[in-house]
Parts: sequence; structure tokens; C-alpha cells
Amino acid sequence: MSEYAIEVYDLVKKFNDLTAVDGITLKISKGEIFGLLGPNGAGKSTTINILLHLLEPTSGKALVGGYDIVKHSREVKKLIGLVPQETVVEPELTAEANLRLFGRLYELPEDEIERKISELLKLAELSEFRYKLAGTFSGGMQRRLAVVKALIHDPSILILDEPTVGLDVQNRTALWNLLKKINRERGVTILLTTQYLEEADMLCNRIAIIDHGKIKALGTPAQLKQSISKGFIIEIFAEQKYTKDIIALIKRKFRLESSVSGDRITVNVSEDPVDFLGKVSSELEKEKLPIVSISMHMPTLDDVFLKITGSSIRDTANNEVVSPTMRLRGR
Amino acid sequence: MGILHDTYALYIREMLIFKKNIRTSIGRSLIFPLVLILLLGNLGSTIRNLPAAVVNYDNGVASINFMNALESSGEISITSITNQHTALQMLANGDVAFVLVIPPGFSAASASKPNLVVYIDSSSPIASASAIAALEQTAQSFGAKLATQNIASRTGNSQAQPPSAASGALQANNAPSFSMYTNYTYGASESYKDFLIAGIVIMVTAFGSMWSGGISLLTDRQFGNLKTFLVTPINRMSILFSKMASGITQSMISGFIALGVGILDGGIVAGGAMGWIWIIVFMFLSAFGFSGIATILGARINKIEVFSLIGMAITMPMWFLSGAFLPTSTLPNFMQPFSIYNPMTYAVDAVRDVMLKGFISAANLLFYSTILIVFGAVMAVLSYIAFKQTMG
Repeated sequence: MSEYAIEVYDLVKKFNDLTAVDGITLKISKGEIFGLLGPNGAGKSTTINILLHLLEPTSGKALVGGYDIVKHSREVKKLIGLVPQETVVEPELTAEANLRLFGRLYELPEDEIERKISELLKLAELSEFRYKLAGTFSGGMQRRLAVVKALIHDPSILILDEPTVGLDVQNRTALWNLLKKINRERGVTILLTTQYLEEADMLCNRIAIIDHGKIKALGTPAQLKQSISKGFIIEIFAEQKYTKDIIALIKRKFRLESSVSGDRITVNVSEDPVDFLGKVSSELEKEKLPIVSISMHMPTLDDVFLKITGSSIRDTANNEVVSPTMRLRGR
Repeated sequence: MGILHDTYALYIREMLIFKKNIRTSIGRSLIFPLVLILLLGNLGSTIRNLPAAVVNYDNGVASINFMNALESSGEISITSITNQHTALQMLANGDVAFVLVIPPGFSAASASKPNLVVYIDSSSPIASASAIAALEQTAQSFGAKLATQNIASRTGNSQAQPPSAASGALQANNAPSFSMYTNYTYGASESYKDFLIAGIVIMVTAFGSMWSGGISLLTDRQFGNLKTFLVTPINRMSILFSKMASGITQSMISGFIALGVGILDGGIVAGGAMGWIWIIVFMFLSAFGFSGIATILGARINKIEVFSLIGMAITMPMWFLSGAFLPTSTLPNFMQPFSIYNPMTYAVDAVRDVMLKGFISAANLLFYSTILIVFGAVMAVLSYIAFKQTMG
């Protein structure tokens, strides 16, 4: 057996002219919670679909638990539990029947299915809803059921595609806790895709930032943030006609390089001299350079994302339809 | 184990969903047979309370008896009018379906009877045909001959008095009266309803098959349920087989409901116990073929609206060309070849033979079932190909 749960080597997937996955290489260790972070259409879901052999890779190679995903897709499927983006539970079946169906599809013996149903419903805190129709559950409950449904065959890897899209804050936190618990208590390796920076930050041991089918950065959240700045980040919003002068001023007075994106200027400050923010604003005032706002903060994954892709993930994700069912109808 | 086990697990899922929606499913499978058998089947076969006006110039015992006899069947409801002009006015207004004029001297004890005159509104063919049949029957029993006058158009010169009516009515009728005997050689019943039931049962079975298995495959693809099945280590074909099997089961249930409605409404299965077995066999064969068509569409089409449209475009002509509603011999010449190449024709014929004739010859049985088995096999292979292409 391999020491890695998932290994991907130079994976490419083309759809006619579009290259959805463009030479991805990554290794995910056993027991990790690994996040693929990127905006819509970055190639996250395609990568996952290839791992599950729902799509054939155009070129490259991937191993799951040491098995080649193309040659041994049956073994690979037994190792993986999937929670798809569309939160699929069977709405017209009870929670129990949902789990029983998948127990049977994984060809578990009936008595083991029985045992797993009780155990997993308890894990998802749904024991009292065992005989209720899944369609009557709230979004959060359905999502938890979908997660434990993917665990019925004791997979060593759990793959979640955008697990918290459309959930409110409480349900999101509850789901994070459930995933952490599954990872900690069962030693399940978790691979998830997300476009929420805070989710990647809170949940993942390691993150790969993926954009236009390529991995742009890889590391722990702390490493990624430090790669931007070891200290602080100053963010100045100003009208675009002034940005040039502001950048020049900061370079002249403080010997600091800045970068600009539209009306936003970011300055990386490696150490924090006392009242640095105040000094910058008074210099700006002296030079009569009007600004809209100025702020200072610790580097976040958004800063990382901004630096790597040149745009904020919020900008790219803005067109995202909140409810996954809306998107389905639109198809 | 293996594919059978997987198919069974998915089949159970389909049937649980079916059970959950049992009321809608049963309701849906009741509507067609109820409407078609109860309404269409009973429509036109007999008439009740057809309004008629009688102008009785005779007023003798025989004429009163004649009117009573005419009314006794319950088909015709008579209003007595003293004046022919008023009666014809009523006919023109559509208040009555026909006017019967009983000439003076009808009750006279002569060997020959004068002609009865009937003015009939032929704009309603079924009603007028039944009225003429009832009148002829009654007239024959009284040894009277009927002279009918069609008033085809109400807007036309409905006021026009038939010139020969008055004189014709007084003419002596010397023609001998005769009776016609009808012998039903094979059919246990000659009613349209019994003819229709076989067609409806097969139609509902095929319809159900089209809608249950195919739609569920389409929605599973649409809502991502299919993906959750595809990531399990099952044989992918078990998904197709479970859809076909559940489609067949559900449509057979619909077919039995249709048959039940037909039998409660007075339909018959002349074939007895063997007949029932053959009905089940042919219901199964037609459900099988159509579940194949349904899964081809379900594997290919992404929108439920498109599915319904194409499904209708396939099934509707097949029903009408199968002789489910009217004998295929009533089709125009250019359409008849279509009914020959329509597999449903043979399913309908087979079930109709069993229900009405009470038997089905070995040669026909072999012929009908071979056609349906070939049809089903071809559709199954095509749906296998379609499914393999979309699901890999």
C-alpha cells in the first residue's frame, strides 16, 4: 500500500477545446484534510470526477490508495465515499432506507447494514429521524445524511464537492465539526473542494489553490499566508486616478512596494512599527491625496488568492447561484 | 450476487418511491381507463331519453300502444304534439331529435297499415342511427313500414314540408314485414365497450411503462442521484435493468387497474383462466418493449418537457394505429401499412381475441408473441447502447 491516500501525476482533462484540468500533480497523505480551493470552473469538480472515474482523464495518471483509478476503478470506488455537490439524498425514502440502499449497492451483508445504519445516524445526530422521509429534512440535515451515507462502506477517503454551499452559518459550523470528527475518530482522509476561503482556512490541513486547471499554490493555510507577508497587509481604496501617486508616495516615504488591482492598493508590511497606519494616512493627507478607506490586517487566504490569481475569489464567485437546486433547473 | 443483486437493490428503491407516491400513481393510472372506458366505452353504444315529438293523427288503441312500445325501452322520451307544424318547429330548434307522424287510420283493423313518417335530424349520427333502429324495430312489430325524411341542415329550409309526406302517409303498405336474426359466431359481446377495453388495457400498460422507468432515469440524471450510484462499485447496467423492471411492474399495475375498471363496468374475459394468463403475458410483452423506448429517451434527453413531447409523439400514433379505439380496417388505405408494422396492433389483437372470442389460435399466439418479443429485444438492445453511450 502506498503511503499516500491520493496521488495525482500530471493530470490533464480536455473537453474539446477547453482544458479543464491542465497538468495537476499532487499527493495527499493519509489522514489529511485537503482542500481544493478555487472559483467556479477552476477544474475542481473535474479533478474529483476523474478520481471517481466518472470521467476519463485525457492524459496523466492518478492513484487512490495505490490503485490506478482507470485500471482498478472498482477497488478505488470501494475506498472512496463521495458527497456530491448536488446534495443527493433520496427525498422520497426514509433516512434508514437511504442508508440501506447504499449499503446494498456496496454489497454489505444485511446485518452489517443494520449495524451501520444505527451507528451512522447517531454520528449525524439523526437517530430520532430514522423513519422520517429525507425530503422533509432541513438543508443541513440532508447534508449530514449525505455525508454519513458516503461512509456506509467504511471508506478510507471521503470526497466532498462544495460541501457547504447554500448552508447557513450554524449548519456550516455543524458540518465542519462533523467532518473534523470523522477525520479524527475514524482516520478518514478528507478531500474537499470549496470556494469559501474561511472554510479552507478553518478545516483544511493543506490547501491547493487551483485556477484555470492549474495548481497555483500549495501548502498549509499558515504557509500560504506567510508567503504573502510575514507581517501585516495595508489595504487602501482610492479613486483610480490617484492610485499611481499613492503607490509612488509609499515607495518614496516608506520604501515599500505596493500592488494595485482596480481601486485597491495592497502594501505588504513585514513588521509593524508603532502607529504605521497613522503615519501612512497623515502622509497621504499632507500630499492631498484623497482616499476612500485605509485598513490594516493579518494576511488572509483572500490576500493569497488575490496575489496568485490577480482577482479576489469573491469577485469571481459573485455570479455563483446560492441554491444548488437553482443551478440544476438552469441546466 | 453481482448484477442481479445490484438490480434488485435499485429495484427496491424504485418501488419504495413508487409506494411513497402510491396515491398519485394509482390516481394517474385510474384517470385514463375511467375516462376512456366509462365515457368513451359507454358513449354511443346505447342512447337514453332521446327527446322526440309524436304527432298522432290516429288516436286509436294501436297508435297509443305503438307510442308506449317506443318509449318502453327507455331510449326515447316522447312528447305528444297535436300539430305537425309545431313539432317540426321543435325539430328545427333542436328540442327534439326526431318527429314521428302517425297517420289517421293506423289503428283501423285493416290488413295493411299506412306509412309512418319520421323527420329526423341527422346532424347527430349516433343519436339518429339509434333512433332509426328503435323505430324500425317497433314499426316491424306493428307491421308498419317507415318512411324517413332527413333534415340535414337546421339552418336550411327546415320549414319546408315534405311534399310527398301527406300523400305517402296515406298510401297502403303492402310490403311484407320481416325480421332479422343476428348470430354472434365468435364474439361474446358486440358492444363497443368490450371492444375498447382490450385496447385501453394495452394502451395504459404501454403508457405507464413509458412514464415510470424513463422519467425516473431522466430525473436521476438531472438531480445527480445517478452520480451517487455510479460511484458505487455496482455494474452500471443494473441501473438500466432496475429502471426497466420497475417500469414494467408499475405499468402492469396500471394495466390491471384499467382491466379492473373495465370489468367493473361490465367488461368480460371470455377466455377464462387461460385467458387471464395470456392477458398478463401480452401486457408484459408490451410493457417490456415500451420500457425499452422509455429508457432510450431517459438516457438521452435532458428535459422532462422534451421527454413528454417525444414520448407523446411516439405513443399517440402507435395507439391510434393499433386499433385500440377503432378496428384497423377503418383506417384509410395509406395508414393501414403503419398499423401492420406497429407492434402494439398485435398486443391489442391478442388481448381482444382472449377477451371477446375467448380463445387465441396457436398460430396467432406464436405470431403475435414473436413480433412483440422481437420488438422488446430490439428496444432493449437499443436502450443498452444509448445507456452505455451516456453513462459510459
